[in-house]
Amino acid sequence: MTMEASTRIRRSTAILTLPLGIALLVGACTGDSDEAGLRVVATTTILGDVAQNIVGEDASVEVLVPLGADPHDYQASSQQVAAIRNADLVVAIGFGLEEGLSNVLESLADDGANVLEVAPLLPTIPFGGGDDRDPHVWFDPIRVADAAREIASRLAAIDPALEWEARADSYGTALRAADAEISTTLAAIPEGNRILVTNHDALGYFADRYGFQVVGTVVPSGTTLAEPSSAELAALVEAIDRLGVRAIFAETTEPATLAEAIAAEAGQGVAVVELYTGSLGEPGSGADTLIGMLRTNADRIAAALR
Amino acid sequence: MDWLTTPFELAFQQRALVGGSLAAIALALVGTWVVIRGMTFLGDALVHGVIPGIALAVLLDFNVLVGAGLAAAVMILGINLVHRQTAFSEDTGIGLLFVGMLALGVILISRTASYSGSLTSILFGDALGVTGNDVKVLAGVAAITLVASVALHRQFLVLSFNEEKAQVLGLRPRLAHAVMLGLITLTIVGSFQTVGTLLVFGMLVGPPATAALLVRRVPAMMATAAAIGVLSVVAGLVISFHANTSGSATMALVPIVLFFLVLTVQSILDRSRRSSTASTA
Repeated sequence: MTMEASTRIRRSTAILTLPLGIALLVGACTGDSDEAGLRVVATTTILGDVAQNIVGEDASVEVLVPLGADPHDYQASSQQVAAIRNADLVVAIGFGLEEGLSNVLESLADDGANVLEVAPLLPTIPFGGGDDRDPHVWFDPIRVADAAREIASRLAAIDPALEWEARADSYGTALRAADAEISTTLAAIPEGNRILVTNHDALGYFADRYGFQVVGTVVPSGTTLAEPSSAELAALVEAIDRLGVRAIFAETTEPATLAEAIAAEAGQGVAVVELYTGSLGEPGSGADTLIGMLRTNADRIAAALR
Repeated sequence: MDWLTTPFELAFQQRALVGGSLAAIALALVGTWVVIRGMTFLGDALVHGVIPGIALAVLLDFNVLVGAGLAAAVMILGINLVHRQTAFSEDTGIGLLFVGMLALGVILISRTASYSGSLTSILFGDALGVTGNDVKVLAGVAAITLVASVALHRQFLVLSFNEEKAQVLGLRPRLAHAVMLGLITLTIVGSFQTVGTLLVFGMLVGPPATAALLVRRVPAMMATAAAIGVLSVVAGLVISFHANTSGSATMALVPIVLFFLVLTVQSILDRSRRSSTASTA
């Protein structure tokens, strides 16, 4: 329990020093304003990859939240906000995912910035207890294919001469192929093991698409900023024991300390497996594209639950 | 001079400049008293202590300013209670309430069954995301703070430097203290939702402390602090644009760096003056 106590203290300090932490998360990549062609800004590395597949050489893509950072807590620089304002198209997830950017995106949309929030355009699933919708749409490749078409038609409205939609379609084909491959990979998991315990509630669409059930999350509520109560953790440990859960899925953008504490408490070889969630992986990690990331996650989930 | 003008070409940058400057002016006025009376810890505690009030307002769907005001009132009453009923110095009471309120805030945030993205964006506002309406609110806060600072200047002055004399003169120091706390709360609550916690606290303490190094009289201190505050907003926005650093955080950092610069220059001047007097003597 001491481990849990120290984690809780660290969590509280994290909230206390959050503004400071945000200050350190400064974007690394900035587009060159002299470049020819259209300029597209994407909020996360994942959306940046989707956008890149659609625009090819016809536009530059700038990503705001750096690789490996959590999109839930991030604050932009004046230069980046200017890039958002001047971009031909800004692609965001929406539904409040970009917590630190929401004030900026809202106020720039009022100024006439061309902001496209993709999640609200897709068939969504409910989130949390209230009437919120789940923003983590990129875990379902089929929904991403739909989002790609939406982005392409927005771009076609700006410059109809270019082949946005054709590229979105071929990217859609690649996504569908990845989807079929992931289904095959996951078919190795027996029905009784199709149970997920995740760090924060990010895998709703994955569960929806491939027939899994999310029975619990380490962090309550949709944001990575919340922290669990002792009773919630105890209930989670109890559920893991009762259902024979084999693994807890942590995230590359968040420390796995709480997940490890729960796994240790539950005992009986519950593994802590890291998944790519809010950000793509480093180049060469195999998860440096969305399709690669979804494949990597599926491989890891299959290996853990088989 | 392009490097100075390009960071202010776009509407959001101009709103950040105007909004940030208005907040800086209001905070410089009350911050001067905060620094003179040694209430910095109280100010920091207030900035964080209003969080549960805001969380509650979002959860129960009422005005966040009312929620923040309520939390501040609870906090100040609690601190006064500890101060009056115990032999502890005031900072113990502030510490108790600070941690208590912050913990309550984290509990409330974690209790939200729904997605709390909206709550986070309220708690940690961003100067670069200031809207036209926010600028109006900030203008109102700055105006009220300015009028109150001028009208109550004598009361605040006597309260700060000779509380017993205030009693004798019939200036009701207790009431003046309460009004001052109310004014600090108003400024903090009115500005942190729009420009962010970090910037508010930086501007509350940084510019007045720097001004206190430079000038003696209170009105001069306020004017200098306001000028340093506005200068910090301008410099922060220019740096954030060119160096690609987070907006609010950069603006908050400038006055702190300025403080230590002034301090260093002064101590060097002092030493050289002392050694020159020593050599002439």
